[in-house]
Amino acid sequence: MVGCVGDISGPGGASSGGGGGTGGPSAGGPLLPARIRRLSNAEYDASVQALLGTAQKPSVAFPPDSRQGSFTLNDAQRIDPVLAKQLDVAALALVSEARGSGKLTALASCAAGEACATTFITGFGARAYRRPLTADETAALVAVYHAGADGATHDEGIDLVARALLQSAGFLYVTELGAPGATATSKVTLTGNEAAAALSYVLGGIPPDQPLLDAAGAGQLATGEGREQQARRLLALPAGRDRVVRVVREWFGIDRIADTAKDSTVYAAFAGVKASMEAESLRFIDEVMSHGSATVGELLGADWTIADAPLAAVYGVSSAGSGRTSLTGVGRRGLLNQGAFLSVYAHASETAPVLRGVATMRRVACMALKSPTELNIVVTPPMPDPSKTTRQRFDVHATDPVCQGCHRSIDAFGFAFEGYDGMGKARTTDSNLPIDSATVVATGLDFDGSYADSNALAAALAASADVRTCAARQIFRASAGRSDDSVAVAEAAFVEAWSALPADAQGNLIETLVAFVRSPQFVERSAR
Amino acid sequence: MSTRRPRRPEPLSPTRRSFLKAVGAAGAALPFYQLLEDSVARAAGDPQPLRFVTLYHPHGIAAEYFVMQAGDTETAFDLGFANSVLQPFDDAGTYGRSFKDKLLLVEGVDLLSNANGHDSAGTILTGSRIDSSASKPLNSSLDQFLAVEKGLGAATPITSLALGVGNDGTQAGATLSFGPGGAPLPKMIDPVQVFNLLFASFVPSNDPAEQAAAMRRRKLGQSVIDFVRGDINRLQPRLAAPEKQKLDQHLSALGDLEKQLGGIGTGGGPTCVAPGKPDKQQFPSLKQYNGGEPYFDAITNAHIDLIAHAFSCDITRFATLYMNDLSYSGNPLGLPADNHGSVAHTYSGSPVGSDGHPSGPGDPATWALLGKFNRYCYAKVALLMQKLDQLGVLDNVLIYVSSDMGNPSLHSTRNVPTVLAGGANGAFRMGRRIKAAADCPTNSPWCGPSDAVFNKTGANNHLLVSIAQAFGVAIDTFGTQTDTAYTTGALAGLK
Repeated sequence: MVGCVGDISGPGGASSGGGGGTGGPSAGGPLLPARIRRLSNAEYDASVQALLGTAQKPSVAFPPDSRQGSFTLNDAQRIDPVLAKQLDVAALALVSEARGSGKLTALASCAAGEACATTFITGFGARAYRRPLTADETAALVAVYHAGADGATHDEGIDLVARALLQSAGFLYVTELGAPGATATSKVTLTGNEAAAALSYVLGGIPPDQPLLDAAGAGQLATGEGREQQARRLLALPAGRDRVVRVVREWFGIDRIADTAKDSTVYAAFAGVKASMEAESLRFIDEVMSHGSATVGELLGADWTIADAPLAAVYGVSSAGSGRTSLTGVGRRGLLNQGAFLSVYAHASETAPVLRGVATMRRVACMALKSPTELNIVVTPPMPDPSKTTRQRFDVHATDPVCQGCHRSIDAFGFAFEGYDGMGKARTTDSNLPIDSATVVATGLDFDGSYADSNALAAALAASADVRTCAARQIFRASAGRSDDSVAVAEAAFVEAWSALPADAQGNLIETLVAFVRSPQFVERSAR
Repeated sequence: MSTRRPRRPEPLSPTRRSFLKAVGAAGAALPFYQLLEDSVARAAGDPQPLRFVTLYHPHGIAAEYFVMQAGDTETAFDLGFANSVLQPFDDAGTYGRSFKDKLLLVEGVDLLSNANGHDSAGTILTGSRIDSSASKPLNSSLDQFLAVEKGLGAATPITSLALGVGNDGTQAGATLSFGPGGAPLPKMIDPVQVFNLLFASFVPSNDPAEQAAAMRRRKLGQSVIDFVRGDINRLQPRLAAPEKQKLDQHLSALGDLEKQLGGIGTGGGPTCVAPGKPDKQQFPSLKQYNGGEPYFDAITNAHIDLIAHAFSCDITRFATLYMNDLSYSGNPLGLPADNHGSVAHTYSGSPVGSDGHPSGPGDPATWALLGKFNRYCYAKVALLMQKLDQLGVLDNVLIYVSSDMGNPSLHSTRNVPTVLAGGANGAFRMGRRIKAAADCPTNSPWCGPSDAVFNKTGANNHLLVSIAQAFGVAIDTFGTQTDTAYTTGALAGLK
């Protein structure tokens, strides 16, 4: 099937088409376009927590983030009527809490009146906007203060200002526009404050802290070295560690374990270990990134995990508690063979070789793969047949001339996982027939070969240079907040810059992130 | 034309108040009435506006128990046959009356999503192919087209309402309402939140202190909106066109927020009463896969109650409700815990409702299982009709009910079960069963939408054109397909 499987040049590349893309002439230039970006739900929570000292996470009541390429930091977040209402409700509740806790009193601890309000507005407003306010903005907020305070109390005026700021464009959108008033040329450069916000949200999921604002004020973020210094500081913070774990989970799609369920008549144990699976991937990724090699190779190839006792029992090993549990005895390797990945990419009552295969190809190898819809193919899933294994039923793909072009590749990956059932438990039989997980991968990439099962495949993927290149692309997509075809040239430019890293740094995700924030691409934008 | 029927009192909870009556009758309520001056008032004798609600039910249909039975004609048909999934529409014992005369059942409608059945809910109101890489359709949905783009939702405090049961996702398979370009609209899944949006700030009071507080809330809210609007307008000129769209959408959302400050519409139905606030205890969990399943039934009922009251009070005229299944062990239907895998996927259909794929006789045991779930979903539609009827606005509502599939084990998006209900202000001739022309000629029974011989008149696009026309919007084409023959022209036989 022409147009099914391409090389790893990514969307818009010279291959047979990206994951749903056309690429080509409209694929933009090497710079990302100037833009505004609405805070994701997690960024909103972190931002109101930093501003008001609250422990609340108001976004639990918001609609879920729109995703782009499975990432939440992206260009697709919008404010629609439902969210606008919820932002208003959240702002009221947050202000009420901050008034009750004394936080707002402390923030505006001066003698009641417009002068005090103006001091509060310029100080609190600058923190909300992540930059100093303009005179117009200050004047507009003083008017808000009077609307609240006149005929009422000073505190009510302050409360109303805080409520307005929490719903303002300046707070809700991160700008990547350069200095206001600059004459639009072909290129703009982020202001120091914009660079600070970009660094803190991309690397920590939080608004800029004081050291970052100081660095911005001193002009240090204009240089790659200055940004690298701040980046390494941010990545070592708890917020930085959490952010990297989030990026990896979104990249593999395993954050969806929270929304995964199984037929309890088939996988009775799943409900009891679902939380353990989620905890495993959080701890495992953090361990690799913070105490391990921080490489995609280790994420995919590790022969250990961090599993609690119930999950270790599913794996057939004994738990080492919060330490590393060895999996060498059972042969399980890396993220792709952990419960979260195997459960997310499976159906409620059986495995899903196609889902597992497609996820591996797209997410781990960045292989271009078109959907049946794009190829105008009518999908007819195999009917249940208790006399056959799942693999035997799906093998119809290999004989159907319409399906086989794509599915020879997809199934070669997907069948390798058949040694694990729909919740990731090892099995030797399916429908009382022996499991066959042997596979031959023939993609033209450097991990082609014959593998006994998904663990052998994982070891090959872990050692692959092509997979390292894919990891760099995914880090770019997660951090730039763009994965659409219109920025394919910018992605290619980053991959080229990244390929200049020393070989041992290329698979290192921290070094890849640092390479991105060091590059001029991080602070330069194409003008409108 | 007055379509009012004598009020049918339903048992009112003690908290329910016929507050609009009070506003109209009592001079003491005048200060609050002035709060309402921004909303559009209609004189008592004016015709009722048409309301539109679309309900989605998952997992397709047991066609055997949906289609016309032997002996049925267009106007004389039986809904009470054995295993009938449509039985709730003719069940006076449960719903107070039969709704057969308020029903227009359409067979043979196709959802041309060009996607797996699971992604096809997004086609129901858009008539669009689904872009699977972005999981969205290519144009706005009819409810948004009418309410927002044609301004038909402008007169009510809430322009439109998108509700869901258990699933707040916005991918094409989980969404009915889409803005321009097919941008999905989020659904509200918490009935308490929905109640607060629709009714909490609107319930008037004769207490002067409460009226003053309402007045102040409105003033403060307006001040916040004015500031945010100014903030957006200061940023807007610095942006390139695609970025401006983000702020345009934000401005439009603020417009909605502003309308909500205005208060309840004064043109409500004959018996506008505020519903009781949903009891949070009835659904301690809301989300699918996160413990919400046992409460889906209660959530569905609460949503239906809120939609009916919002319509009767003219708080909104456009709503969508994305229903869910009952996938948990011990569900009241006695279905297997996994409805999707063990009911929908195991359905073994007969040639009835087949999309031309070769089919054996099928397995009636599997029809009954799926049919039981289908009947449950249609019972929710009947419940909505009952409430609208009790509130006196059933004749002023058009209800459109669809699933994302016909035969679910084939994931077929053809022969999708289509129910139109309500009085529709007389736009459609109800009390009938009709069939769209067959998709394929007898000499090419397995044809598909990409084949020249495929009949283009069964696409649900035509139904969407008809509904737009029922709202007085003179369009002749709706949706995005490869061939305009699919998108152009009204569906035959509705009038």
